[in-house]
Amino acid sequence: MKFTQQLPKGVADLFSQDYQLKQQVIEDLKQLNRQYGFRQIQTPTFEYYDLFINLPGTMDTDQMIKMVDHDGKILVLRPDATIPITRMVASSYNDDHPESKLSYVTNIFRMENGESDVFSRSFMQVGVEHFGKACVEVDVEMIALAIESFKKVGLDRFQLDIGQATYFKALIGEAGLSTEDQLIVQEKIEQKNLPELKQLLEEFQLDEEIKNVLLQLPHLFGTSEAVLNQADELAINSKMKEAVQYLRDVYSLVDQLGYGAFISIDLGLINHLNYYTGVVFQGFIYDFGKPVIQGGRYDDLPPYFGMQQDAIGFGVYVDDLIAALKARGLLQNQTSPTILVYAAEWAEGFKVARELRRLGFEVEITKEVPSSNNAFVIDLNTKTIQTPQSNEKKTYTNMEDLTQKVGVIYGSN
Amino acid sequence: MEVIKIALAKGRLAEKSVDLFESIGVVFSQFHEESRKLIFKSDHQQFEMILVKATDVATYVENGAADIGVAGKDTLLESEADVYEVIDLGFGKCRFAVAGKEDTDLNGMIKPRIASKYPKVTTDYFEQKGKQIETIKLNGSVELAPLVGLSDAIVDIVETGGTLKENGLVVLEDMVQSSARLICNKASFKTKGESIQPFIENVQDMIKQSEGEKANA
Repeated sequence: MKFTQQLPKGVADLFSQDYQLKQQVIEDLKQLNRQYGFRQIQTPTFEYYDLFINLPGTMDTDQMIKMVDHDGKILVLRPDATIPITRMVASSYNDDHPESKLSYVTNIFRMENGESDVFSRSFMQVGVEHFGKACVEVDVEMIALAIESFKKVGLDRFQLDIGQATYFKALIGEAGLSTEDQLIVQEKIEQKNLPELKQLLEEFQLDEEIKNVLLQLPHLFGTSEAVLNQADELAINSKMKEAVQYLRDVYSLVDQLGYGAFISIDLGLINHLNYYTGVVFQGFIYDFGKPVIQGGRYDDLPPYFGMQQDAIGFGVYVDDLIAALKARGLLQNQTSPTILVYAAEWAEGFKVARELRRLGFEVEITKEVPSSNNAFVIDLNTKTIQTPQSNEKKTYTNMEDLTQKVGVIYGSN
Repeated sequence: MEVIKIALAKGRLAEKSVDLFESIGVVFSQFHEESRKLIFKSDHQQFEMILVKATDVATYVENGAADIGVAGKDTLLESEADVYEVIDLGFGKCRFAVAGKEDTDLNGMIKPRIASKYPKVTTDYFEQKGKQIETIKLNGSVELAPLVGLSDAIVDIVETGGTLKENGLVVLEDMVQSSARLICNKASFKTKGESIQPFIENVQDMIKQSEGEKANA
């Protein structure tokens, strides 16, 4: 194929059937977000690079897709949904109305190597952010909405894994390690890589007490409150105890709402994006290899924009969700048959088609004799309607009669 | 019952792994009988083993095409796969090393050329040392590169050092140790936990037990 006709790695075309499926999924999620009181907003496709690099430890700047502006400033294609939205909220922040519940449907761009995934560099995220309120109920509603999102698209086997970033942060804060070393420890914990974590902690010569708890972190997961009890016993300071208690409150409320079966707890889940501060969660679909939902509390991010506000949110990776739904045969095109208007005079055909289109039908006009008897055909010459999958033809008298009959047939299909 | 897929690297690692799994009661009798097949069911049908290229194990597991895998740390370092790396199995031990001709002085060179099958490991290592290098990616017979002047040195895994010696090369710098690791897809670990976690625990116990025996012997 000619170079000019090839696509860069990590991006893909969507043909109409796939596009329609995607729109259905997005519409389902959007509707749910609206029902939960989130209002959709939009931030620009590209912003200044400086917005993202000035936030310590949040994003890999190498992964951002950059451009140079007229004046030499560097721009990046939106590499994350949450940071721009936080900037936006801060820019119009008003102390009288601190709370805002926002949703988005947006493309995210990252310079990943893109060899094995057609959507790795440009993918769609649908998500919600709740600013200005931090309490168990807000966190639980977020988790509930994440679960309902999976249910809405027809899934029944999935797991929402809940962690507590504060637990780890309150622990590692006492270790006296540099930020860089903390991140290495965090990485090993998130990989549940006990052998290397052990080795690393030996090298750092950490306090025995801290070391022992860190070594337990990869094991602190499960589907019952036993994990929380264990975490509570291991806590070495009041902040860690509070963090466990908070998670316990969240867990029991989620359970009370009947979502217990979908929940697992993992204190080793901290999340790669460093701006998460409290409850964090990931959504997994059974037999699908990567998390499809990522979210959590990020109270440390708004202060970077001069806004002392709490915040929590999550995003659904729509392209991955669609791939998982397709693999399960849960996605079907809800197409309605196109009506063919067969007329010797095109203009006459158009007038009838225009009326039907005005009423919401999908209509095509043809001057050729329709060959397939599988079509929905209105023959203006013989004033008949032929329905799909039958040879029966109905006659009609005038436009009013036609639209009424078409409506009845369309409805029964 | 759900089937758990295990990806193994063709060759010695697979044989060692199958022996290990057998010791915890997951038996693949077919594996010994036939040699060309790439997919095997365990005798109790609960596990399915797939044989892939060593460097591909992490890819299969990361994408969820396999739930569990056994991969060398060397390949994990190179691929940077986002997986749980739960157990150091202790076998398949080797180390990364910088090797070259005996009188090679890498520090004296401004920008030495380093040939390797592991360009990522190579670049990361020298970056950490603050040494500028030029990485040359090769797919095999890396030892040849310094001999024919393609590179100044190589980065490769060394088990006994025999191959290096035969080609007149020596280890210049020792890098990290590598051994076989049991890895697990993050989603599978959570969504199929009831089947996977007991399996991992059994393997863990068996490794501890055999390490204990070694220590006592």
